[in-house]
Amino acid sequence: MLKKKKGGYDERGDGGMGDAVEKPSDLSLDVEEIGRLRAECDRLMRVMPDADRHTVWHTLLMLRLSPLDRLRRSLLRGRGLRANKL
Amino acid sequence: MDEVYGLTNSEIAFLRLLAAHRVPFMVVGLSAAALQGAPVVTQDVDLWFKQLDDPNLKDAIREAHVAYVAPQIENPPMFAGKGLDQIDIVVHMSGLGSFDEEYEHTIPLKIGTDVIRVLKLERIIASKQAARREKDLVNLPILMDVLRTRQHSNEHHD
Repeated sequence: MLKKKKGGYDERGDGGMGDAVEKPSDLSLDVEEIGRLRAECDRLMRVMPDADRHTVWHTLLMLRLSPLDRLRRSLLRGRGLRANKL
Repeated sequence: MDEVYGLTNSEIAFLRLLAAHRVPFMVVGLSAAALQGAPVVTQDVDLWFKQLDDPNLKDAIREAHVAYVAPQIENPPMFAGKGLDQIDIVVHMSGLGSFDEEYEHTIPLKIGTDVIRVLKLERIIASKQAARREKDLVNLPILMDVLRTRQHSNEHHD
């Protein structure tokens, strides 16, 4: 169930803190935006049916962020993963 | 204070210093792919420098209070400095042309008032196709789907 939060919806109801090392995301989507992005993802999958839907979806999400925020998220996960292995 | 896991303030400041000193360099590898929207995971920021003995690079290093550690046999050159241990110096890219040739295939990225150059996704894919390390082969299908998504998407992006 979606819980309304300031500036959007928090699908997990945990403020985006579901992953151990994830900080609150600055990528907030409302229901309408999710619907629009899903439609775009569906359209892209019709254009390139051999593509991986998961990759296409997450690329669409990443493209909504500034380039630096994209890199931050990529490093956040990579470095967090390494730190948790230490 | 530096972020623990994400891009550190030291890294951002260093990139801006390199740009401000007009050091010829570009961001390459998976960090460059991430900047262009690839949902990939990486630990390092790979920087390809045209010349490691560039006087402007030496000035930027001095201003950033960073030390340059020369390569030794199997060990590549690196920077020593707080928050910069995950910046990798790249001196060669598999399957690609010279620095000057590849510089033509970069896109600008603005950080504040400074602009750095990022190698285009197409060329990152070419280098990974040539390198063919296990981790490259894992990421290649993802990078190719990202490239096609960017080409076909109606979503606004840089």
